[in-house]
Amino acid sequence: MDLAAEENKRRADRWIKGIKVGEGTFANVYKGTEKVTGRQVAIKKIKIGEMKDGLDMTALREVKFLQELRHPNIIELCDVFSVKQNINLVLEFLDTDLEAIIRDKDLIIQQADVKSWMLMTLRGLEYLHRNGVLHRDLKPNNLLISADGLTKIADFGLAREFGDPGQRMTCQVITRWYRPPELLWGSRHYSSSVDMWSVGTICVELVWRAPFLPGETDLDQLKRTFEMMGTPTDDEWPGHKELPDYHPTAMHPKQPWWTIIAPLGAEGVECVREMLKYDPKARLTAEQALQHRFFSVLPRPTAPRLLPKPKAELRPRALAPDEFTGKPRVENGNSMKRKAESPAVEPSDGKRVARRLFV
Amino acid sequence: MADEQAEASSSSAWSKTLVAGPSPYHESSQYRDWRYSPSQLTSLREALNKKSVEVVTRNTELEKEAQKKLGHDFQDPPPLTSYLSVQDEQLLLRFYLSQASTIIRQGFGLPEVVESTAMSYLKRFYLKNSVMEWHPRIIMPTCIYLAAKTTNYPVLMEHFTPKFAKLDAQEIIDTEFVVSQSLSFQFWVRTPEKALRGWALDLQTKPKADVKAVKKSISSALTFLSASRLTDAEFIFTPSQISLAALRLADRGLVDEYLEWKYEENGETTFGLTKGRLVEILVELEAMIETGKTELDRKTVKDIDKRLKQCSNPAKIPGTALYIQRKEEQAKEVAAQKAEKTLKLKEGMSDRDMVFGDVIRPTQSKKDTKTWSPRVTMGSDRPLDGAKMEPSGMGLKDEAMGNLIGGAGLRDIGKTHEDI
Repeated sequence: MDLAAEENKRRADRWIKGIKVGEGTFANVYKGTEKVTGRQVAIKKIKIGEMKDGLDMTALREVKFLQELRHPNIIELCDVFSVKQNINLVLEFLDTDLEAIIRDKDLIIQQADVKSWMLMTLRGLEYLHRNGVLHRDLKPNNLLISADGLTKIADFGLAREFGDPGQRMTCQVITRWYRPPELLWGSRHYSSSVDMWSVGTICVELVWRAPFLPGETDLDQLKRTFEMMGTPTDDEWPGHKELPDYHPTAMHPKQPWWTIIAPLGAEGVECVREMLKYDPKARLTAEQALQHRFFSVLPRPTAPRLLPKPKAELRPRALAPDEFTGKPRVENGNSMKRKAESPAVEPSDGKRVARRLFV
Repeated sequence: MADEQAEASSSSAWSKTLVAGPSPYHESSQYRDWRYSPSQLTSLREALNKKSVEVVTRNTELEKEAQKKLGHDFQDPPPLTSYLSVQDEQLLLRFYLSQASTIIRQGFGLPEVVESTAMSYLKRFYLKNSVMEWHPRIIMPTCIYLAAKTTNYPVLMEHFTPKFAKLDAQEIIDTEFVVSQSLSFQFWVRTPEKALRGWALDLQTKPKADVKAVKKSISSALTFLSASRLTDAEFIFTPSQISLAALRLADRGLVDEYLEWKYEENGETTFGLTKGRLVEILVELEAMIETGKTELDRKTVKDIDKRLKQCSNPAKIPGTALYIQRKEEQAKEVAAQKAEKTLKLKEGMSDRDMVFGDVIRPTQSKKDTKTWSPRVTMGSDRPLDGAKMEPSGMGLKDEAMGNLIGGAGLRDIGKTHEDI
């Protein structure tokens, strides 16, 4: 046997694959255990299929970044092994996510809870940015929650390195509701500030218990953003009119939209508003946000294990539509990458079983 | 660039080492799993070579029997003297490394990060496999193909294969997996080009820095980095050490003055190691990089390749009896697994339903089908503007469309396009 095959077998033998708990077009998820310790894990088996372009880029990205990143607030990749032509990712077992918490109307969320989730998310994000990685798909259902209440950033299928001067990047990233205006206007040079906008919108959603800016199209997304927060002016966002896809929009006046997050207190409101600055350069960085007074004034953030959690632990629920279509769309004949978005395809047969519990 | 990185280097005695605090590099898989001392590299390769010779010998015998069974004539295996030595393997690998570099630059016009990553993949692959088992003729293009994807410069298969003589897309797809496995699915390579940028910036923080000289040294340093890619430097030293050595080769005065100032300002522990030790490392590295500059003797390489034809593992050469046998066995195994799976699935369905409740079907009541995440159309309403080539840029590519447009890249700063 080849040396590499031997190593692979050694790794594969560490784990026992259990029942299937999630299924999508892009990957199946199984429960698993580590033989020696009995530790519970999730095994994500990436479907390779008959791709003419070989290993799927989304899978490669996910593996590439998770192999390197180790942080309490980032999902842990315990191992990678292959069986036949399938890649198996062994991930730590996480039973719920922030979206489930937001949607579970039986749960009461308090200021200290929001503070705690934000703090953990920002810690993970600061680590990510410090390592030169953009996540580019932050949204509540990519923020998973462990049994002891820790928030973990997951799904690195759209992540990439940043910081190469002159490097052009796609603006078709981040699920629309969490996408900052510079991307909607086609910016090809951007930075960690795009992830910060997402964090800001997620924070509002935690208080409001509904998506802050649920645009129906890319245009509608801009419209909703400006209706809510006012159309940007040259003063607050110099140069935005130079963006590739800039188009003049109706002038909406500034409104005190932040009254909806008033429960966060003055510091909380200030912190979120600074994350949602139109000018990417003026937006708080993850590091600055962590040092914001919001996190040091009372009430103290709730201890992770005391945070509210949906009661039914292993409750299956439908995959978000973009999870169904995580596979790269190749009908253009020249795209090998998954978009952060999905065409409006509803699976029509019962075969596509949705049991999303984690990634 | 803590000194512990270089402690893998066995060539010099180690005084008390000073270790810098953890940096992102110290958490990388490259730091964890891909550092070796020169002697470790040697013994690793010797063991691999020895094992491969055994495998090839055994399989050649098996092939002979298989052929005889089929009623074919079969030549006797070559006598042991003609198997490749470690040096032969290294020479051949070196040849394919320089080929990879040429193809990536001139064939595809891809930037350094792809070149650096692909060449690292190739070198890492042959720390786990011998050229007698997997011929670099196929592994080299596969590494390029894979690296292009992992560094965000994907090339479509139909554009890829035509750049190589007699290369079948299926061969790439078949070996891509073997390569990934040999890389332990660790795809992020920390390449020295980024570190070079860092040095170039830091050099300018020195009071009265000679910005012109810094600029000039970069393009020259990049050619030394190209040479370093043909050596084992990346297994022994850190990316920052390699790039500093390349800079010092480009302009020794510049680097020495900078180090002098830096150590005066920041004391003994600058960069986590003493100046004396750092210079020692640099000198060692510079010598190593110089070896990457020597020309290969084409005739020797050709000769090795000819001999390789006779001592490749028959089980991995298409058309041999063993190859066909192996493929058939694989197909059988896959079919059996599929059958087993279908059975399991049937059994599992009921079992699963009991544990997890009813299967959720995406189309239930109207309220339930309301999409939670936004439904998005592909942004095709406007022409994508990435399809332009900038002769002196970093290489353009429309990431969203996966179009790949070559650019000259960092190495050409200060040069005209014709220089490439």
